[in-house]
Amino acid sequence: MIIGSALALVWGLAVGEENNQPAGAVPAVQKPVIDEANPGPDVLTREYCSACHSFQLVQAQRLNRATWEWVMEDMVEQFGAGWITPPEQTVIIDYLVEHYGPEK
Amino acid sequence: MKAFSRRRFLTHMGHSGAWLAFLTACGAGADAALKGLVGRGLLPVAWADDALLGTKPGMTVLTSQPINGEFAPHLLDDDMTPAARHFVRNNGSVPARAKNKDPQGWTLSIEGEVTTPLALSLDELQQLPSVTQQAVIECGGNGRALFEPKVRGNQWTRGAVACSQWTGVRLRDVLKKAGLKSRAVYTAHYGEDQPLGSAQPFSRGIPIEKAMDEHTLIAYQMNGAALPALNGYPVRLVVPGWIGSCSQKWLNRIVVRDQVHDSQKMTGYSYRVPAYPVEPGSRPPKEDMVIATAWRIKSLITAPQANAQFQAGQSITVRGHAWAGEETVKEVLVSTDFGIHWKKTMLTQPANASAWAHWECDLALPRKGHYEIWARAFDDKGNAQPFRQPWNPKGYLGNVIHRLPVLITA
Repeated sequence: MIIGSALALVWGLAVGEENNQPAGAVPAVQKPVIDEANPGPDVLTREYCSACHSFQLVQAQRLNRATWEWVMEDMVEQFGAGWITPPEQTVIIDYLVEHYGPEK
Repeated sequence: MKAFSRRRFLTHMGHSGAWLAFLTACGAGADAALKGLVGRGLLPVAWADDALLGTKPGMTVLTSQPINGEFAPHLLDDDMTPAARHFVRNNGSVPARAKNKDPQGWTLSIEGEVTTPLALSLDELQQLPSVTQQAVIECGGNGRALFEPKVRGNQWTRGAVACSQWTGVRLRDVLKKAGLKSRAVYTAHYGEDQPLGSAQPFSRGIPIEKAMDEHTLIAYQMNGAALPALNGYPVRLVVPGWIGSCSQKWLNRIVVRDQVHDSQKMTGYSYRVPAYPVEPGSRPPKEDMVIATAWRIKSLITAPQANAQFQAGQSITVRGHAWAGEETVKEVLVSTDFGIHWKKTMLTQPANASAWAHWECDLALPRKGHYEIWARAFDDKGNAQPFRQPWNPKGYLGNVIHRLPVLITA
């Protein structure tokens, strides 16, 4: 445990507290590092969504714009992806609607 | 793409297996460290929990981080679901303790509106009078993929349901031991799984009346063995008839509250449904949402398999399960002509009140063609499964009839 924490610190990570932490004490999730100067919407979407969960979750859904906007709002406000800037949000939502929108 | 950073990391680290073993050996910090690394794209997601997927052969994996998976209906044919075929719905990463099957240091604490807070070890818990019963556990989002228009979330089809045998202690015995204060109205459950992102720890609760129900268990065995890592080792709640999120996995703490539990997963649109029917695709205001609780009447066709082929006139055994939340299954009817004619099935009563019932009938289709077998269950209160799925914004409590395609050849 001590070694584990030390290790995590070496890597500059926020180590999760022991379970049972009070509400709101969890830090924002780490923003993913993208190794491209100007990532396209596909890279941006995949990298940002995959910061927390499998991209499979996104790929399995077929949602309209209003619902993807709702999802984005929750990710930014409740699930620690507050680093997604408003312009990036627009790019990602457009990409999601185009590729994972309702089947025609 | 993502591979760059991972590849660079792997080059730096050399033997990945040894590294993982080291992290695992570090104990409780390892999960957090792993999660952090995964979160930064420094570790393949596959490193986190994927090794556990081998314990669920045949599972349709919806997401691998966190692990979420269901089984095709024909794989749920057993009267009592084997542990290997119990669906998995995770919100976070599987605790190291569960992976290592290590009960050392685990306690279940009972706090809040009680006169004597408790911290029970696994041994102490297992010394209390035990109960063994089968119980249906079903993810609240089972059937979400069948909603139209489509709703957000894991796209469960029909297989996020199971009926296994659970051994444990009645929650009410533990609550009585702790002594409920008169202000106690609700429970708040917490587990050892680490949330993804910066979500609050996954936590839900149930009213005290449900907590005191004799069938609500703190379970430490599934089908006579220790709980599988993916299903909550060492201890989980089993809250029969109610949506699965009430049955907290990796349970280690229950806080008795003097108000309805107000965690992230109890409020807003989480595990909530509109108080009245809404237009499909619309979103009512938060104030009009109510907590999803008990399941309604439902059935599953487990034989034949979808798209099975038979010859004209051949006898076909159709069977499956039916369950009704807190009610009792009364009958199950089947149709092969889109609901014009219905045939009664033979119903076998459940092993106990919280288990599912089984139904079966033989039928033959005299002419070649593409058919659908429909099953429709009824409960003792006169409720039946709907033909079309009533809609709600997050796709909870789906119980539309099961339609199974079969092909009849000449």
